Amino acid sequence: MESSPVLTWILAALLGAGVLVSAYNLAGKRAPVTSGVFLVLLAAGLWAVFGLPPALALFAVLGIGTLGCALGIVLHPNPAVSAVYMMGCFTGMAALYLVLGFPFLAMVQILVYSGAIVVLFLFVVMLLDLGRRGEGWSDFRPGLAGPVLAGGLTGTALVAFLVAASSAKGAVKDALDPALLPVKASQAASSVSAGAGFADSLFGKYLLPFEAITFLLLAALVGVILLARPPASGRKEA
Amino acid sequence: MPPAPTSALLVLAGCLFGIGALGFLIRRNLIVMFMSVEVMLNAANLVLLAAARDRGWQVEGQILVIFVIAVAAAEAAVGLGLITALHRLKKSVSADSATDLKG
Repeated sequence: MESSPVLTWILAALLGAGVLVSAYNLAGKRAPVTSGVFLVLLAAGLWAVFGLPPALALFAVLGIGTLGCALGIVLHPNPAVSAVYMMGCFTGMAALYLVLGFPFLAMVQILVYSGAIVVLFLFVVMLLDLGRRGEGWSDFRPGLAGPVLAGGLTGTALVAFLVAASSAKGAVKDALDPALLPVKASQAASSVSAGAGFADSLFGKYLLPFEAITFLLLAALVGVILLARPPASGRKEA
Repeated sequence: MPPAPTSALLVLAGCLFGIGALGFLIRRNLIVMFMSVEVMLNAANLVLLAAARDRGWQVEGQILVIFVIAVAAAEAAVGLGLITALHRLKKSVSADSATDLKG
């Protein structure tokens, strides 16, 4: 992706300014806006400065945004804010699915996760009144066992993935080679036909597991009603 | 259409899973622990889709993702029902408050 040097330097300067402003403001009140501006600038910078194809730059930015939102879920002391970060994380995942060529699953992800599950979490946070008080705010476990264990898990997974990816064929260099990633008409067509094949398989070959899942959801529904009901002595109206 | 290499997807999914595992281990708030579990399930979904795309758009990956999403929805509903029941009993959503089974 060739672009004029002046434009490249302007974009590089914007990118640097975005990084500085984000670092300065990240703990402030406008963190989401700043982070969004930063991600847009990062996409432009990756495209113009480092010459990544736009689709790869988009993927990188979506991935970084999703990871940042996941960190926000884990690290923010207020559970209500964690739930909002969860919405950002799941919507980012949906955008990733869309970019990868799974539009139906992206819609399902938004409907089920960003819609139903996040609202359920927020509902419980409000019901139990956890957004205001101190309870659950600074609840991080003392000691290093948890971070060390999680870091070890992540490191092991990353090393395993990298080894697998590099030993498979042609290493990570090939994987990041833009020439290997052209948009092929046949691939796009196969994506569309995969949508049709998906429905055929789901309601044909995999109909029995599908029905089993519906019974699982029914059982969960009944179980939750039983669980969340007040105890028999104090029961008034459901 | 498919811009991202499979290895990058796998690394992203690994990082997401690690963040979820970290959150599950370092937080005591049961609701945030459940959110971390959801993040880990999403990382697994991403791996399934990356593998499905890598193996020539096999539909089995997408079908498994649908099932994982359904199971995650059921799990979230049951888990949050348990949390509300525990909160009614203990007036707390800390994992350290549920110690009644300790001998």
